[in-house]
Amino acid sequence: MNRGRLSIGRVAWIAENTFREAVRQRLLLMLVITAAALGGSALVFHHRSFGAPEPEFLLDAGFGILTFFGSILAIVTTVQLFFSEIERRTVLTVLAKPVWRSEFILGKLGGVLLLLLAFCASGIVSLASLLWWRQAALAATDSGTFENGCRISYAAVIAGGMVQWLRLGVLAAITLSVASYARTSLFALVSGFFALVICNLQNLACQSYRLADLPWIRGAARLVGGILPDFEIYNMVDRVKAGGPLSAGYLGGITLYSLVYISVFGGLAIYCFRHREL
Amino acid sequence: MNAIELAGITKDFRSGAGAARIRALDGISLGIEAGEVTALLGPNGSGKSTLLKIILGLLAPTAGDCRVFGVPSGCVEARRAVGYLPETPDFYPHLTGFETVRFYARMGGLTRAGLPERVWAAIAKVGLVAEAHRRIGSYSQGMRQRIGLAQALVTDPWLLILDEPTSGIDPAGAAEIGALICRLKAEGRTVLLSSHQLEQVEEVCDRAVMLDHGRQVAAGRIDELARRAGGIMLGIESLPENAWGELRAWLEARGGRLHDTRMNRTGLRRVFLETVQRGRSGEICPP
Amino acid sequence: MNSSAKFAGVAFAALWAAGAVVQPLRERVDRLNEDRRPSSLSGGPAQVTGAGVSAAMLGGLRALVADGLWLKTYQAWAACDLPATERLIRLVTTVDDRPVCFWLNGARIMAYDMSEWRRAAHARGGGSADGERRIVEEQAETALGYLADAHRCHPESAAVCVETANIQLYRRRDLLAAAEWYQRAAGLPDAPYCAARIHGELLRRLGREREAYLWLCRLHPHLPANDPEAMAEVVLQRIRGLEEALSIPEGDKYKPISGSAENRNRWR
Repeated sequence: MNRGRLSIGRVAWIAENTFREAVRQRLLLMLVITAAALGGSALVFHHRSFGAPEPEFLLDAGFGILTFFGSILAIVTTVQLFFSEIERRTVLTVLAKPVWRSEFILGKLGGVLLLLLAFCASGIVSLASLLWWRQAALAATDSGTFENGCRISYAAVIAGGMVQWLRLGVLAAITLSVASYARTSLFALVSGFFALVICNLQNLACQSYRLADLPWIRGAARLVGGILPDFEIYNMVDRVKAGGPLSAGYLGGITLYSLVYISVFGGLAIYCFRHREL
Repeated sequence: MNAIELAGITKDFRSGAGAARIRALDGISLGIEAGEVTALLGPNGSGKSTLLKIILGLLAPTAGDCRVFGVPSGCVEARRAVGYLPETPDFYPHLTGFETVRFYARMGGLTRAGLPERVWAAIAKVGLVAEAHRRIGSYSQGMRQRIGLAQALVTDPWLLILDEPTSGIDPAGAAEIGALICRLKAEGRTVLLSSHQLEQVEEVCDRAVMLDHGRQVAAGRIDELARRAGGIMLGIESLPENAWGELRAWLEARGGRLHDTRMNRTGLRRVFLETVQRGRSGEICPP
Repeated sequence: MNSSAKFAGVAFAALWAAGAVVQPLRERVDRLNEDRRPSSLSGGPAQVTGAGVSAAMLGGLRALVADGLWLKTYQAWAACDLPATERLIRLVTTVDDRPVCFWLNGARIMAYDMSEWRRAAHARGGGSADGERRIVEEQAETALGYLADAHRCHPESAAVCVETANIQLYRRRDLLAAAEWYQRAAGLPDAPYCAARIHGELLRRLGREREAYLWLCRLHPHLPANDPEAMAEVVLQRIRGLEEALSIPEGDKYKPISGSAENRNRWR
């Protein structure tokens, strides 16, 4: 038995249980929808014979679908997995054991991150397979443009998938921090989607309003820019489309950036949950 | 030695920002003796579940001090020797009964060595071995209650806190749980349970604490409490109907009073249990 | 202080501290990924509230939406539906102004295809030759206006300058404007070899032969002899022709030095 310290083993067990529960609930359905959408888009491109730009279209579609479904998955699953514990009262039986509340929250976050990793990995494998199929077909008819039968770097596609996973991880951490404070799942869901919109918009809004004449608008812009993560920096599909690899500096920087925000929002979730009356 | 020490426990709730405070518990002070079975009694909304949650460290008291085996109840250490069964428990529907108990065993700090044996032993105690590989989602409420007891028992705790342990369970199951509690008591474990089934409480509990509107209104040994109520209940069997008048006259002549005459529910319960028992053993074929 | 205010305070302080810590990191990542930003942002709030906001509203999906709209543009183009095609072309670059190919293809459709559609309709109605010339002029103006937006979004794009020059040359027949745009393209990184060559040729056609001669002499050493696209041989022939026309003395004539791909950009 361990002595009152945070146990990685217990966190891992809660994470595994959360992942298994999520897989039973929604993930398979989401994956089927995503795969169907990807397959459908590939067939559209195939029949329309767009020629050389087709891989770029596939990339846009693939990453767009990954981001869209992934964001829904990150918000909805996080809220559902958290509130199902409250409503079912399994949280009481778990916390009646010698389990820290921080272990519970870290386990939940770990389970959701695992789920999002599985989602992104399967999406990227599907996308890479489609790209391989279409690039091979196009190379047969246009060998000049598709040198060596390949124009898009698969390494860049995989790295792009990892970047999207980090973005979804930050979104899940934000949602969990709201859920740990919220009294109703509806409030947490709505807040999660608000956070998604604000994080996508904040960079643009800040740039715009920093040029405003009124000082309080400039102050508000600085405030929003200072406290929320910027999701614009995760948009890297153009770099992937250009065929070049994503630089190690960019990947390292964005990983660190995401880890800081996941830690901060995870910490806030723990703080709120420790003070929550169950 | 007291397993649980409560000193001036008060708990206030607010239903929302700016809303009036509601006092759920008001200055509860008591000690629960180790090795005894204690019942927490009271009507709905009297504060029983809130008190149990405070003992488990799931809720922080607004005022007062709560210790479990001498350790403040908010500490993780205090829960190391505690098993808890919530009221009408529900578990992860994707797990089987065995996986559920194993999960809680890991949460309780049990290591891999000998884990399956401990899990099977707990499941066997509640009589669910045959159904242990079915998913919880397909369990009846009574089976969930039993698996809840198994998860509470799996870490071999010295203190068991049971919130309505027989709720949703048929009389046969309730009797089995009663017998299990008696066995735990015989092993020297402390049990604190809340229940509305006074009859069962009388059978298995040593002491009772009564709450009403968050206040402790009575506490003591069961027989003492019954004596304080000012009467002893007699169970009479096989008395001819025409003798009732004579019995009443005899009692009144000695300053007593025949307070109530009802059909013996214990007897009905016993008939029911015996019938079920015979049905299970094949003496009675269902129609 | 009630608990909600306390939570809000803690959350705000933690996020503010985190924001301050990651700010340098964010700027670094931003610099490394600067391609992703809608370039209309550089124009300040006025532009931001137009195209930029709609683009950002779509978050990571704007590339996908733009692709979908481009497919619709093709459909309208195949149906020769001028108003729908033009509207969709503009919508595509409003949603996602980053891919240069959208701007170039849109400008070509406006300048060449749309003028042909209008000319065909004009001819069916028994229109005059003057009317046809006016249509070509109008469509060229529309395309040039569209490319001016493209140039604001992609000021370093040689392809946008070359396309502008092409339209000035082939649709408006404005040699001077075309020459200026080819020169501007030639000064940008990754400009095609033809931009500088055509600039020299247009100077010659404008009667500025000495200027053309000096320009081509400066260009030729940087053209790789082994790259057929560079057309070093053709440029040398043109230099010789200009030497004759300008009666350059034998001793002052250009002495070719073979160029290479490495020094391609050094002449600018």
